[in-house]
Amino acid sequence: MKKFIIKIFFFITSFAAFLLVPDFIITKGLQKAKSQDYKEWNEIYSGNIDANIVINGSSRAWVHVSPYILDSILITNSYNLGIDGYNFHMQYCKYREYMQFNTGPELVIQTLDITTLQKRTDLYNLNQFLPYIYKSRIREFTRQYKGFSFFDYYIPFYRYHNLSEIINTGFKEFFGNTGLDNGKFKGYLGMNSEWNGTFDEYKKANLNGVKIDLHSESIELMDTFLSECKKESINVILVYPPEFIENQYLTKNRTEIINLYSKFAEKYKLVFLDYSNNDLSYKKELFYNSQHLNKKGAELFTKILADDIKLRNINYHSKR
Amino acid sequence: MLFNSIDFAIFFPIVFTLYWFVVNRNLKMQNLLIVISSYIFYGWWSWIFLTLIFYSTVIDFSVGMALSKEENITKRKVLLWTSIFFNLGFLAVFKYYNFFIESFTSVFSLFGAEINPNTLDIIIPVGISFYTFQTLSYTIDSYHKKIVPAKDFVAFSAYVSFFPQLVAGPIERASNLLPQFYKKRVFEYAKATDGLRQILWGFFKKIVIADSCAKHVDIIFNNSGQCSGGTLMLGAILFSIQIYADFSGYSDIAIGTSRLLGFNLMQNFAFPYFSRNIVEFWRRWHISLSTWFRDYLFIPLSYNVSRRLPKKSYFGIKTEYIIYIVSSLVTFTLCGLWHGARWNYIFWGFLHGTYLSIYIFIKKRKKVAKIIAENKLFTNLKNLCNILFTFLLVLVGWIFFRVSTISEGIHYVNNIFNNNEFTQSFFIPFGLILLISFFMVIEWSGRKNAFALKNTGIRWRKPFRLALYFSILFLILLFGGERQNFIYFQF
Repeated sequence: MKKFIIKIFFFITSFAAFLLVPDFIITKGLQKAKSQDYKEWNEIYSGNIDANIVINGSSRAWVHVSPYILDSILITNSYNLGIDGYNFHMQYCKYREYMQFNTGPELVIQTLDITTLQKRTDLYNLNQFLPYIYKSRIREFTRQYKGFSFFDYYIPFYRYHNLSEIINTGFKEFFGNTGLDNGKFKGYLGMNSEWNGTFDEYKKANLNGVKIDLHSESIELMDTFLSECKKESINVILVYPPEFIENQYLTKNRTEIINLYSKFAEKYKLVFLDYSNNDLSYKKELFYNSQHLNKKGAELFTKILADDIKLRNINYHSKR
Repeated sequence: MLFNSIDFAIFFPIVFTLYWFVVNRNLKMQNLLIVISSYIFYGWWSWIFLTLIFYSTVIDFSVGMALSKEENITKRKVLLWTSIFFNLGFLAVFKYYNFFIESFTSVFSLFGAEINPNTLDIIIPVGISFYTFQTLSYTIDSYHKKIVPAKDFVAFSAYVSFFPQLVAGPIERASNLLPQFYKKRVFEYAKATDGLRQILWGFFKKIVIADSCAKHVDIIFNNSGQCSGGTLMLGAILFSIQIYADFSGYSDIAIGTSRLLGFNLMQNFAFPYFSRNIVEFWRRWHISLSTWFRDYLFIPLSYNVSRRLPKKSYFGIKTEYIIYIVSSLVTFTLCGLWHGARWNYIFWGFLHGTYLSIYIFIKKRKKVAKIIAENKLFTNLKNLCNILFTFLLVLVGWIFFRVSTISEGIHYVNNIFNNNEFTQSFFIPFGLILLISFFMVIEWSGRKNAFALKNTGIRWRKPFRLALYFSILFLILLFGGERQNFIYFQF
């Protein structure tokens, strides 16, 4: 029995060591990739962004605020950190990773939506975290969602199992270059889409409206984030991008949520730009669903936002 | 609990440790640990259905005890039928009730009678057919005094619920497994490592081969109306590989796991796709079930039929052929029904019964060497043709096994011949072809052994041997994760 246990132990240990090789190749490959969501994470970890303005938020950041337009109007260097499908909890994680590897910005545009202070339970699009799972903050934050198992964190290569496309990409990128690119510019991607009707179904299903449950820890985290920015002398503006007007009527506690954002602005003396009632919010043709403007709408909105920043004389110029 | 799950990866090492390090000095405690582990293993699906196993255990143990004391033939028969009634009763209610009710309703509706059937809204308990047949064999063997009925309830409970083979076999005979619970198990290094190799090969078959084939099989069978004949043929071939890799993979894991606990289970598969005729196929496919049907149905039935046919021939056909044909058709039709309460399974069984009847009628009983091309790298052309022909027959059967209705199966077979072209719309990835080729090469090279990987690489130098095992393990890890059920769980 002793011999058996020792042999099993050595077999498992040596196999785990063997797994480090494909793990290393795939991870390093993905850390070079520009496809899917790896491009932005890799740009963050490369530490070469050093933007004056950082746009933080969910998909309502990455499809709404074009750094190209901001840069050209404000003559600056901006970068969009928007993370699709996540509430503030994971947005904060991405922001802190940015701060760890890059020079801090002068201005953070924190975009908001009705669900910013909720917290989803599942790890949406978890593949984006695969090459960075060893980073302590990523590990700490991803653990708070249902997605990765214990084995994903501690057994080399295990997290890539059954992900043939990602393994392929990792190998190809390691030994060469796939040439694939997600098409985003500084984290932004305008969507050339027409109204897709998902809202119409949502509306039918929720005729009596929907109440948004707020996540108390996310509220605290927002407070922490704002106080950290204050300590680090980083200006923050809170921005509520246009939201299709009909959806606004469907959220029962919308006023309560907007008031909460206003209180944050008041507490930290921040500018809060709420575009809920902007003309854009009434134009269905500028949206592809109730929460997201299409490319045309997003570019119109970014121009308005840039002009408002200019008008209010908010400091975003680098002292660097 | 599935073998191919994280739950089992945690569960088994705990059981193994407790079994060999904590309760190893006490046989009763070891058996009790097996019972508890088995109930946890099964309860992972449904705690409610544990009561069925428990009832079955209590009834058969009590019947066995009574049979050991009873010599009166009438009373012994009553005891035997009590056990059969309860065991088959559970099976009938949970598995066949709805099927028979619906079938009767359909027949009556043909004559214009409208009946609203009272079907039951129940799910089939996992593995019910397996453990029911195992306990039935115990009672029947006790009745025939082939075995000494169990006196130790814990040992008997462990025999009925032994988790490695509880839900999908091999269907063990009491004469083989039960005595192993009476003896102290001693850890054997060679047996344990052999068990690990068998588990490794079983996982490879299930996760890498069967589950990879399953994705393509599902697409083809779910869209069979839109597929060309070539694609449909490909789908049938892939399903033949899938079902073999899936089921024999389960058996390998079950047997290997048992070996780690010091038990020897019977071989369930012996490279059936290398069979040279249909009789040989049934000696190599799901051996524990085919021998069960042989011993408890085919032989008694043949005996009963022979008593009713005193003449040497009828209609110019020798009586021995008639007996064989009738018994084969009945046995295999019931074998089909055992697999599931659907007409396509019954047809599948009937088809195999027909194959066997025709084979025996034409070829008579022709013995073939137990191991094909023994000590040779390849077989001769004649054997190869026989293997391919047998495979083709089996493949037609698998089509009816995979579809939901007989008419769907006929349609599928029809379409294979109606449009016999490969289209561009479907292709198998090159990687899968490589994997299947690797699998077949290992199976062929290891065909002399109880499982293909048993001696493969055993004499190689350690680094090469490790490389082989690491590669297999790596492939398992690479393909694992979707947690597909084993096909035979539904039976």
